[in-house]
Amino acid sequence: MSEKAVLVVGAGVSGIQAAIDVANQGIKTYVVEKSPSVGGHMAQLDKTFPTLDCSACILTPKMVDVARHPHIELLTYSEVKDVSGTAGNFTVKIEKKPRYIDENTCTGCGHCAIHCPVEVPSEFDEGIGVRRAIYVPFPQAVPLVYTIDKDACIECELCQNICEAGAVKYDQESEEIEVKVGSIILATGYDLFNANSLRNYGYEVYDNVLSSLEFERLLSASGPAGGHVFRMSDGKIPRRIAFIQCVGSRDPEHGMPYCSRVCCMYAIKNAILAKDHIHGGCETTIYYIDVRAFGKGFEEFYQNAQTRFGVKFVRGKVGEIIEDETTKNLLLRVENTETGELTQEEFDMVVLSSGLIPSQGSMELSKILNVPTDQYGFFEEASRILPVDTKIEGVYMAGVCESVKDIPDGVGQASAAAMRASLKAI
Amino acid sequence: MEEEPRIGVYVCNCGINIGGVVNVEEVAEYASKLPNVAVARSHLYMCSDRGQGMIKDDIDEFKLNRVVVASCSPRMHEPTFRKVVEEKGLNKYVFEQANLREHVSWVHSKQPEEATNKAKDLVRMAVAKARLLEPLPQQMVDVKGEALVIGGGISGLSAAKSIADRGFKVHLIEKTPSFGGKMAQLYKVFPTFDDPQELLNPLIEDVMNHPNIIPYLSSEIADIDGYIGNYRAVIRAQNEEEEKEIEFGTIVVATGFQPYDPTGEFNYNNPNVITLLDLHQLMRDDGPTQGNLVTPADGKPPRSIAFISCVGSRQNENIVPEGKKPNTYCSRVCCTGMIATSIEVKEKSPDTDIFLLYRDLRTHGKGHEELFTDFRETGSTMIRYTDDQLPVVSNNEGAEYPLTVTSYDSLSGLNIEIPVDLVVLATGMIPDDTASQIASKLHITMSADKFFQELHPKLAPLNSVTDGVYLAGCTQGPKDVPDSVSQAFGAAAKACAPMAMGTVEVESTISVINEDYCTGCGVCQGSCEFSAIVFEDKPEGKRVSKVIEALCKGCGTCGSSCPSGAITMLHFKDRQLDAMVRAALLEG
Repeated sequence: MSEKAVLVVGAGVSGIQAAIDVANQGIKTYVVEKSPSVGGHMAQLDKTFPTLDCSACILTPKMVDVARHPHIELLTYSEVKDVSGTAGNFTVKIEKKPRYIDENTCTGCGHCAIHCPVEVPSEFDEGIGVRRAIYVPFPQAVPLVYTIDKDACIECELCQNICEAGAVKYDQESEEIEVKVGSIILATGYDLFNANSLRNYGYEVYDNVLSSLEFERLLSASGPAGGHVFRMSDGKIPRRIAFIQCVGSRDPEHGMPYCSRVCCMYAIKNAILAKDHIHGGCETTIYYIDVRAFGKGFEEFYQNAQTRFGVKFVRGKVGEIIEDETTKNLLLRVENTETGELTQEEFDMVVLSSGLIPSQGSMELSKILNVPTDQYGFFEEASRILPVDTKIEGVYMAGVCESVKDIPDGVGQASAAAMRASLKAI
Repeated sequence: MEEEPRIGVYVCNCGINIGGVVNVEEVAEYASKLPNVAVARSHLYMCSDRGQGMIKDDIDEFKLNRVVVASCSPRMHEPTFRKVVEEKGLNKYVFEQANLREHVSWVHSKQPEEATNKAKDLVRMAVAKARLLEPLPQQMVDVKGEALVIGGGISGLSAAKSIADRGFKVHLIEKTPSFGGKMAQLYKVFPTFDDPQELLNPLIEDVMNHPNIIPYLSSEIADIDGYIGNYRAVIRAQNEEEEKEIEFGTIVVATGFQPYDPTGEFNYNNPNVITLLDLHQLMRDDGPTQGNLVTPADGKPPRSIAFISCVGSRQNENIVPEGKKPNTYCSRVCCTGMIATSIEVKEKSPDTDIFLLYRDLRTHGKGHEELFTDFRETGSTMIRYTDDQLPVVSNNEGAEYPLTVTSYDSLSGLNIEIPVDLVVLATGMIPDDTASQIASKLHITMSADKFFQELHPKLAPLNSVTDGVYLAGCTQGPKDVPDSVSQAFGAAAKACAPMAMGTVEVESTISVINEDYCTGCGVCQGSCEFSAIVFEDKPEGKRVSKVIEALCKGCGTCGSSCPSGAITMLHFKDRQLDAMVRAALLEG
């Protein structure tokens, strides 16, 4: 229908939505995703606030749509290597990395992974579970095509021998694809702030201190524990869980002054879900500075958490976590700023509500495209009333790569970027 | 269809999602023995290319004319499998799906035997219905390449310009005499302190001069009806008799907000108690005092100001004035609004003391927390009040300061008295008063907070429940300028899609009326949530009900209400459902 095309970089929920909204206008759309499957972080979440919708259930139809759309060409396990030209006329070089699997013949049957003898920590399960060297990141992956992790593979050839379709290709090489597009949408998402730089919380030192995404995978019915919450130290069920807010957010001392916007709500959600998942009861306490329940239905969710579910809220920034070496329980030292008391509370598990930082992919693309970022690495907007335009004409942005936001705001912004990008492709 | 049904049944393992609980092989074996089943198989993932290929091969080999897949919810993969049968030249409505995941394996994960039996029941029911499935014609609707945008604030302007730039004609209607909405009334826009006029004026000029935009100022919608692709409205200019009828294919609703009215709260009848929006007016060069910051009652520069947050927001039954219903929601922008305005006050009048009374400080947006850091450096005082002890604003006749604010501070545990010259209430947002009228005319629903309800908060945050009607800005819930503009651009993209394609597919699973049986009683019209049924006068003098196909959602309410049994739901005919019920209860 139209002469020009649009490129979307990143296929999390924002990138997926942006691509669908461009393609629905009859415009050819390329989607480049660096990991083996579309879906992004949303696919890792158990349920979403404030409606407690199952994340996978609402995301997978969109993942299927993006793969099935007649105007979308989906390039997974691929990365943008170079961009030249200007708005209306970009030339993009894309590297399609070798999966060592023929995408067209792999049926996704999974026999290869059953026979693969190599186990490595699963990135999708945040290292709590394992995957094989030949793998799909998660069962509903799109496309449902296996990938060989060459760093882990021992080339035992079991997978090659077992594959009925003959899809295993150890000698596959990377491919360079060149596309011409009128505009580009960046939807490169976020990484989770790694709390191991905050020594007082003992993340990656104490067994029972988890990041929020690790806890999401524990909660998830399709996660490594089938939705059963247990302690990493001894497999016991935690009866007292603390959630610490503003870990890597609102913390200028550690160079993280901004608010990560979603942590208050996801902590409330996870505190409610923990109570739901743990049979026999569980006490949950959220340590916060301000509860920022600002979106549609959020305040009501926060009120319900207190009155209906009995989640306890304590205003105070946790100073320090100390592990009891024998029980592996955790002692939290915190000043309750409403009572002025210095308290020590013991918990079985602590979940850190880590902030969101710009993804590694954003950093790389900002260099390739010369897109200006703010001091943290989020892409800068052209003006207050052009909130999805970057400072480079013809390059737009959607989702957390612009600034931290929740799913509804990311999806809305994705549609906005689709509108702006379509104007350069007609 | 006279042809003998030849049904293929495909039972999906969904990895281990179904196969881990249900004995999928056994279900497939069972299905193969059901009447009219030509072939039954299982597969690890029916939705995979290989699974789909299996169905296609079987359609050729076994001359299948019906397909049943027993897998997940149709919500996800019904379109996938409909497309598979279509690719083999069958009508997509000869496909039927049974849900063995959400309805069986996920809910009965501890009872594999019973789950397998239930799976067999569901498959038997699906096969019973499949025997009676009928092909339906694909309904297409032409989409007129013009849009209506309701509201000329920043959201409406942004949506209108986008659609017009995309090449479609836009009717932009605004009830006041000028464009710009609430944003135009602000002093500065946070967190960058841009002058709103500098942002708005070029946009308004573009809109006014755009060859594709027809602006209607001081105008309102007298009447509106229709369906996606084919809407019609009558626009009436206020103070004039003139009415104009227009036609268009899609609608963006951007009716915005109005500030909460704090009458009866916080001593608001005292002239020195004003709202945050009033303060913005007061600070503007074109305001009542030419930008001189003085108190309304006595015209003196305020020595001290108290800001109170959450006025008309985060209310509960205990803190709402009598006769009002609590606004339970957070208004999202007031905290940063107070912080930013306080910084501006300090810049205009450095000696003014500022007291900020808040509950939780919600500076959540891009650059907002940094603004809060700047605010703390102004040396202002913060007082954290709680919802069980609201601050009290009282008159101080004859004292040095005309007002006293008394509040409990939850951080120090003290009751504090603050003498001030001015009190500023950070009032929340409520929907514009035209919203409810528009909601009823367009059949879009409102959530409990009276803002428009989006179709789905995550899958479709910009769609209303009515096809072809999209939501932008504060009409859907409180938001700041960039978030409103984002939504407006996004709603514009949604509106452009059907117009760019020129036609839109609508579901064929709709109700049809047998005119011979219809007595024209109109009960169905009263029961239809979507105004999809109208009267039609037949040439022979009989009046009958008629379904507007593009409006019908196939919900079936009319069918159950019809006293004459004249209404049939396509794809859910009585005999199809009877067969399922019989299969469930009598067979097996």
